[in-house]
Amino acid sequence: MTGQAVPIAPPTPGRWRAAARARRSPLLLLGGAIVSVSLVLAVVGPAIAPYDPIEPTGDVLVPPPALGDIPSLIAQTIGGSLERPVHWFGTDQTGLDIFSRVLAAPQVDVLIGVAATALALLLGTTLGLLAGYFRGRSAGFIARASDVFQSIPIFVLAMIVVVFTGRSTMAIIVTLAILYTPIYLRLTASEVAAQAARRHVEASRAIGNRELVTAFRHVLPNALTPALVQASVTIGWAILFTAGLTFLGAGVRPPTAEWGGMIASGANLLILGQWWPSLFPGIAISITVFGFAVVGDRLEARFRG
Amino acid sequence: MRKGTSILLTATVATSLLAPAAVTAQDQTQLVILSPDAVAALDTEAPGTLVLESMAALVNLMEPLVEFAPAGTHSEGGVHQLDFTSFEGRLAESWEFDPDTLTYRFHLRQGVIGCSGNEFTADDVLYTFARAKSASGTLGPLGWFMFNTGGVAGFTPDVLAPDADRSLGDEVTKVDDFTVDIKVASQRRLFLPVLTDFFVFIWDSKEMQAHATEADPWSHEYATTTNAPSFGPYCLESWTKGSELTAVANPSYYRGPAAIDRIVFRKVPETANRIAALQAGQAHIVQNLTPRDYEFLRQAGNGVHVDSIVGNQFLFLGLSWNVPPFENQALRQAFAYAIPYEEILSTGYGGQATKWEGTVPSSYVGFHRTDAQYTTDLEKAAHLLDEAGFPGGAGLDQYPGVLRLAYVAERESTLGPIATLIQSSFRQIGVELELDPMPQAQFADRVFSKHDVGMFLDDQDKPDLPTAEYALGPFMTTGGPGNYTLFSDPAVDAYFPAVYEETDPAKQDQMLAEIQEIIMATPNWLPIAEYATQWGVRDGVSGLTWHPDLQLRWYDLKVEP
Repeated sequence: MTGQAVPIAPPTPGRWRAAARARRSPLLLLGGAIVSVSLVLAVVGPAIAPYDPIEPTGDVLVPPPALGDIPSLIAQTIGGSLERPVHWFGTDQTGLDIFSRVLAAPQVDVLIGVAATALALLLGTTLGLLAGYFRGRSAGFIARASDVFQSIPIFVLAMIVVVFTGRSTMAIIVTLAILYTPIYLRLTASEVAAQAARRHVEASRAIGNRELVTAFRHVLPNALTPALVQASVTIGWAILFTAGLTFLGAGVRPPTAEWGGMIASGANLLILGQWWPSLFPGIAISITVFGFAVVGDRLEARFRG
Repeated sequence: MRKGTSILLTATVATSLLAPAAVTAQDQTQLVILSPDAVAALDTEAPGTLVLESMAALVNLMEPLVEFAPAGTHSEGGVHQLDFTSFEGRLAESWEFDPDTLTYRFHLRQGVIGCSGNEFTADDVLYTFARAKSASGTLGPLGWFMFNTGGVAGFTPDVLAPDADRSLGDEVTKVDDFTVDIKVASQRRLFLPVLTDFFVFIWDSKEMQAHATEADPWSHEYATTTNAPSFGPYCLESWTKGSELTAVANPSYYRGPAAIDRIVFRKVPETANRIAALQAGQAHIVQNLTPRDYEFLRQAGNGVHVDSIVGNQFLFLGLSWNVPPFENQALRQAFAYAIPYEEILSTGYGGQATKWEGTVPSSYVGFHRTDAQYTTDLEKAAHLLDEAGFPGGAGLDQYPGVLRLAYVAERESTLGPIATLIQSSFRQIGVELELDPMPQAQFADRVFSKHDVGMFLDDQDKPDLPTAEYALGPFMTTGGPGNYTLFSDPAVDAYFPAVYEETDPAKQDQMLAEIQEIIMATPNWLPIAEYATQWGVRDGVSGLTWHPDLQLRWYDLKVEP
């Protein structure tokens, strides 16, 4: 055996493959970073904010520092020579620190987005599995009910539900979950219908598995991918929707730090030249929704092949 | 520079919106007023009348029998004031009172021609009283209520019973075409002020009857949707529902035609657009801005100034008497001491307000600055909270949903920061409030009708008649029609109706002062601020006069050529 040894590449661990894919897709990397930051802020945002996000500071409508002052203010902040933290994004008409509120808002916006999407995913995939796999009269009813829900303007429906159930985080989560469930139902039902005709499903039946076992153990896992890919996009929608509801006065209660509410309360000040109360939360929500949308889009592209 | 850019953008939008009715330099006698809502109804007994813009139209299209006389003074903010103890004739030229028969005799002005061409006579006065007594409108019998408040004989509560005879009896009689007798059940200081209220302005009976039907003998449909025929200084020219009303000066008006030929009263909901239109010269007067907007206009100049007066607009925190634990006096007082008054005046109103030191607007006849006063004193508040049985706020959690501070969501830009300041201050004594902004309609239904809101912030209420007995009677007596906190104190009730009927002004004011002391010590309304009523006005426009209904009389306005 004198032949030249052929170098064999070591097996690439899964996480290395993911990193390699991410390097090939800078957009996915950017989206992933944004999503990661927003998820981290959803947990620690209020704790790292320089001011209490719902406590007036006494400084009313203070503009953000001039660009030229920022380096020295950063240095003073690091050096600990300032008596009070800088209002990096200024303050609003109540004297609330906008930077602190922008940092704290993901605790509401992202939490609602993630929780509502998770609930919608759970309900939608379960109902979609039943509708797609069994295809009986009840399946037809589920599909029609889903059509009815989707035909109602969702903002109007959401406002009605929130008016009746009260302005609470839980009410918004449940409302959004109900509104988004039909999306997952349809995605899952069509995928389940395609999977149900496959041989491994037939094989499961042939060996005597009950229909429910077959559906949950052999069909659902293979039909979940489109729904999971959709989840990232839905979280972005939900964040936007929550902000929209609060903007219209039907979302979370003031003075809870929430981007939509901050934009709404600052919108009236634009004419007075006080742009900062609405600009910074506007930028924050744009970046966050963009991040979730990009992740969803890239994952979908990968899924479609 | 930044301000300039945003204003320019908004001005461009507003200009495009308003261009069709632009006011040009050549058209000096047209005046454009912008308001956030549109005239909803022109019947004094229709629900749409409660929209402020409807009131604005009514007070200018219709005419009263009497009016408050000018005081000859003006506020620091340049608004002319009235003397609430002195009256001058409008459709009534003069009047006298006979204490033996408790009868007012009104001598009516002759030769007064209304917008429909009809001459004003005693029949119009009788029609107005009869219509009010019919209680036939859909809003509620506000005409009846006003005459009842003024003590007019026959306008008693039993008239409102389902099978009661609501026809006008001998309480109002025609002596001749230009003389009318009005009997009162008792002599009240409120009688003449009542006649200045737009709910009892005089109808043109001939025109109204021309539009009556068997089903609608009092022409409510016509007045609600089409016109308010009367003898006022302006006549309706056009009315586009939900958008705009234009009025032209009545050429036959008995005080002489108005200085401004045409008034355009237009709905522009967005605050920013109203400001931009004013600055661009597309409007002469804008109203219902926030204090911060007015401050901006003041500083910006641009040919615009702000006229203001602290009149009868106030902010208070209402505590419902029927909602536990607010029946606890020490708790209410603790809350009163926890309110951050100074911060509210400076942050919420930008300095355009003063601390309210009583339970009646300070401009009203009979106002008394009470001995009991509440200032921000968190230590005292904490002590009172302890005394109330809730040390450090402990125990309040057994009243779920009660510690919610409700306010009108549409007023968020003004009330939101104030509510947040109160929430923050209460937190310091251990009371955790939840803020509960709700739509105007829901707020009105729950606070004024259902009475199921424990705490609320209200800055839109005001007694229309500028006397203390009116500000207290309907609002603070058991079962009073305006008593929506369901406050009940036998000591206060005991003063009524005697305080209405006291003819010695000194004794009457003494009684009113005692009532105000009781209420302030109790307190169910926590008075916070009296804030300025303001208008953004183009330079060259003058003559703004403050009336307790907050509506400008267009006849008083002047525009410099």
